[in-house]
Amino acid sequence: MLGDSLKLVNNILGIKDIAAFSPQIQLLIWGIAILLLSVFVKDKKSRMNISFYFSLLGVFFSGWSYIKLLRLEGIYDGEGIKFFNGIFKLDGITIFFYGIFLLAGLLTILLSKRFLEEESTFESEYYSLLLLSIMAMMCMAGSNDLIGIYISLEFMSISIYVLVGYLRKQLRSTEGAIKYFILGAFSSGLLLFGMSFIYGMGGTTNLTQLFRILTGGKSAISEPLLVLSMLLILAGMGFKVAAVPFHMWCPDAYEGAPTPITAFMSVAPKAAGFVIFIRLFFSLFKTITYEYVSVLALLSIITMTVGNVIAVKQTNIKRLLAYSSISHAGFILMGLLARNEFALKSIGMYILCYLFMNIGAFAIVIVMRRKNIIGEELDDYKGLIHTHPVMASFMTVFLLSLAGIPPTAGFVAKYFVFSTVIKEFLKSGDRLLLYVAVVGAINAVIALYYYFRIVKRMFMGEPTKESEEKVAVNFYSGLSIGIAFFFTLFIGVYAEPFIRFADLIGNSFRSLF
Amino acid sequence: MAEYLWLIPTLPFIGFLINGLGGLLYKRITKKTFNRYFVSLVACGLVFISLILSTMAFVQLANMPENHKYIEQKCFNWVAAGDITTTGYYDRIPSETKQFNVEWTYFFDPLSAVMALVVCGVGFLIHVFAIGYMWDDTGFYRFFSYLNLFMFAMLTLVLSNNFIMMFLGWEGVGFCSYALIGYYFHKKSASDAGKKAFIVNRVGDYGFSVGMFLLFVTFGTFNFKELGEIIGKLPVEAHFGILSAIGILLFIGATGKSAQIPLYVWLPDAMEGPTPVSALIHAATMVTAGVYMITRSSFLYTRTHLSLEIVGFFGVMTALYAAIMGFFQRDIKKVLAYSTISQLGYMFTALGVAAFSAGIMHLMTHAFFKALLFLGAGSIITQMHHEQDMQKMGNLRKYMPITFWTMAAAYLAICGIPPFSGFFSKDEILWQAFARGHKFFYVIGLIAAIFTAFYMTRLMILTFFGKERIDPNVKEHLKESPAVMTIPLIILGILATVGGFVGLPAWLGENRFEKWLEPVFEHNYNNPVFAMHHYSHGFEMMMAGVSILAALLGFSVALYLYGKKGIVPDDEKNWGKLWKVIYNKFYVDELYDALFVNRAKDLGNALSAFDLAVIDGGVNGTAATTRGTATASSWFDKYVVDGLVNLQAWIVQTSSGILRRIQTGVIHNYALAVILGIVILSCLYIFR
Repeated sequence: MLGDSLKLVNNILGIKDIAAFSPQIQLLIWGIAILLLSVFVKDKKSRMNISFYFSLLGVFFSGWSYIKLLRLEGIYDGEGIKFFNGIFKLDGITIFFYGIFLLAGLLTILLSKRFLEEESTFESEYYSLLLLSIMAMMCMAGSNDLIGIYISLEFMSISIYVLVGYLRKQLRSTEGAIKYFILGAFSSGLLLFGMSFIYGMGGTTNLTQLFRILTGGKSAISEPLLVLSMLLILAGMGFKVAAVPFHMWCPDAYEGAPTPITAFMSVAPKAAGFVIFIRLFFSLFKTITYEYVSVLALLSIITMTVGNVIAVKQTNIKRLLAYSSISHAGFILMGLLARNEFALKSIGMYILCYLFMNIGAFAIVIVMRRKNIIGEELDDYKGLIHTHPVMASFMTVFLLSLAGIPPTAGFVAKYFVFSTVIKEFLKSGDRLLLYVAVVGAINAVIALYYYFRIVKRMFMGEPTKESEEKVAVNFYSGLSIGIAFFFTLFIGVYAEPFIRFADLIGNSFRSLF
Repeated sequence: MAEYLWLIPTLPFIGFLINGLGGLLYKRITKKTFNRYFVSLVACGLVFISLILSTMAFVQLANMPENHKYIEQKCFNWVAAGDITTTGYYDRIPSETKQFNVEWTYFFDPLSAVMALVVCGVGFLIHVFAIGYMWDDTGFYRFFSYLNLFMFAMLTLVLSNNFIMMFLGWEGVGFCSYALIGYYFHKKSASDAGKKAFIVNRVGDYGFSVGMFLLFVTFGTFNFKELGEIIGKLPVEAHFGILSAIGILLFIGATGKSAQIPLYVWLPDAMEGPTPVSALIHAATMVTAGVYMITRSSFLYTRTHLSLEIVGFFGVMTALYAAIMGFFQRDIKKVLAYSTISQLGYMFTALGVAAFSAGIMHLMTHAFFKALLFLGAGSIITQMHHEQDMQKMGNLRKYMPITFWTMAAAYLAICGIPPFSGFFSKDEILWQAFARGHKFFYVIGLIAAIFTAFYMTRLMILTFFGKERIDPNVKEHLKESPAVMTIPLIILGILATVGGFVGLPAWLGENRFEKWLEPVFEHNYNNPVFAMHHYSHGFEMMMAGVSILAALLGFSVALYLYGKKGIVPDDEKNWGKLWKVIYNKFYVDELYDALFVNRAKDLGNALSAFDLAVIDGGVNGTAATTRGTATASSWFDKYVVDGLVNLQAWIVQTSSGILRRIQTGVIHNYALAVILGIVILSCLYIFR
């Protein structure tokens, strides 16, 4: 019977379409399997372990299918491959972001086990939703259709709303989730509003066709309307990547969410948001390039500055990292200021580096959570170098990387976005770009200040009595930190293979049109 | 083909990781140090495998055809950083845009082969010796991990195919040298000497790196082979030009690393390190890096007369000057240190007259006999309970016969007595200088040879002959060193004796060494200015006789002054003012202190005052501003934003009692920000 139905599906869709979706299908299957498990396994502890291993298996099999996908012909040249009647597209950008999401998911799952044991609350939905949100993001990366983008975006968002409010007995978790949810719904509305204008002008939701119509020079396309829809979409997506002034939810949600989810949220949905930026801005808004570049430049300046300046005063490390992630969004926005291959590549490179260093920093925060200490106040890090030298030195490397000091990944990332902006400035002579670069440089200094407030506490502070309690790092979180640490340093020292990987996205610039 | 090439440097590096990191972790965890047998097995074993691999590669290279005598193994693209436009300063090389690409490629040609064999061979023997020398030291594993790291850096240096990779090795050996000079870091003089070595080298490295960059912006590549092909086609530079500038800058780097005038001052102080370190790093291998580097860039130096002259002049002057400073030193290692500087001066003299293979041959023989002299000194020092003053030795040959006989072989080699190795190499240098028309270099070199024989004879007499002046407490335990130390001495003794036969002078047969190196210098042979004058074999033989006579002269003077039975000559009384000046090394250290060190300190103090007053003020100001802004912004957040929120909430509460308390107001505010954002951005578009 299964064979028959598969055959039916094949006849409608074609085997290739299924193949393109195989990583997502794997995640879906394992995600649902975890949900079903909670019905059959009564013992909480074993349910917890089994869910954990299942989710690891899910990521593993999804990764396997992903690696198989890499060898599919026609992905890397020209337009990429279209599936499901053009709704879904497999090109270098899709492939690159699949990798990012899977990696972020893997690191988060590894970190979750210890956290959940420490918090001693567990529901199977946790891992299931995590897998499903990864799946939704993957769909987002490949969507070539406004409807597809919207649906997968909502899918992702809803999974994450629930995950933020996962610690439902804690007030701040619930509060963060509710705020995030309401504002998220609000921003989705704005996004849809913007999309509807585009649909109104183009008469289709397919991006490829829309591009042809919108840039075809037809008189029916009104520029102000296009700008308005651009601004609305910007607001909707700016919310997802937490760009100022659409960032308000971010500190509350980050602080309230379970820390592994915070780590995940600060990277993966942000990356997913940037895919949409790339897919829409580089193609649909080609005719209003000047307008959107000015707006994004302004947004980038404000985002960096506000994020950094507020971070200076924070005393809670999760809030501090939340504001720092806002300012990083400002840096990534710099990559959108030029319409060329290199700019695309710089975005990819930044996200890749940011993935390792940010999850790494959050991972240290997670393992600092001990019985008597929540480990989220800056003072909990006093004298860490004396009590836990390895942790302290790892944290230092992650913070150095976040601040953009060589030889760490953060430096490579910043190098790429800055050179994008400077190159574009030299080519077009647009002063605004120069200001962005200058403000970016000033912001890098401010960022150094507050990252080093942590480092200073770790190295110069006297450890308090409670903080001498041993940190128990289990194998999985250790592995996660190790991976993040290794890549943070490795990219900094020998960036070549990673630049090659980011070339995937740079080279598919053509496939956007 | 020779896929194992990369293993030659990597194996010692693995040794470093095992002994260094492993040892550190082991100590952290168990509070115990690594087992000494294990440490020595790892450290020496891996170097020994490297030696075998180098020998294999050497054999393979020997069987290759003359016109393709090199092995290249590319490991990966190391630095690939976009396009670089060359300047086009040099009128024959037009400006062009090139891909900046530095490969990690190991390159094995006859020159690298000689260097790799010397480094691995002598290095291995010194590793073995060091087992005995360092056995009682608590930092045994630390010492060997540094030593292995040094081997890695040195092998990377000699096996690189481009300047950047070479520079990595260059700095690597510099670091290891620093770490090992300051090995007894609790001793202030040792840590000071380490710092001095590092800082003086930094001065040289500055020249080296500027030269390297100049080379790159002119020719657009760092690769030796490509550079050789480009520069080999250029004519010889008649006056000062870009090539001379590069040549001189690179030579500044070499004076730092190879301890030539004016940057030699660090090497005598470097004797604070353990003696095997002095033997390996400060005699046999690292200090010869400058010689190797200039030989490797021979394609450049043969195209610029001026810089060659400078290399030769500074070389021969160092040879003489350092030999004079060796006259009255009391510390046995100090004498050997000055002797090393002097012998390096000979090598640079050879390079200066474009006799590259003679320079490299002296490098090799010097590695044998100087390592042997240092190890011999080390053997004496351990048995004398770390007494280094020669005034307190004498008649040691009775107690330490093996050390004596091996050191005697090295002594004869360094003085240039046939058939010991030093004779062939040193005489070749002097002969080449003469035959290529550099009579001045020849005369100075000959005088330096007399002085060499003098101070070396003095050293031998004071240590091994004459009256016993040994401390009675020490004398009780005085005996020959254990086999782990004497066997390396014996092997090096044999090498120092027969090592010269690979390069016989023309009147005795064929110079195989020169022939072996020939493919390296293929770019030089179309260069007419370095042609030799032709002399008959008889004349050449006569000149060799003159060299031997010079050595004998120095020997007799020393014998006359120090060889009297039962008397310990007091140099200070006999020589008066001259002694004072020479013993204090011509006050050069004091001069440098007055000129540079103290001025740098003054500058530092001034800057620190400036720093305190202005910069710190500025920084604090900035910090205060940032903090102020943050405070203001958080104040703003707290009072204005929250106030507005509260105001809103208040408005909402009072105006509509029905919707009361449904929304928290904060969310309102958040949504308001989103809307405001859109409104402001659209206004910007409308009113732009």
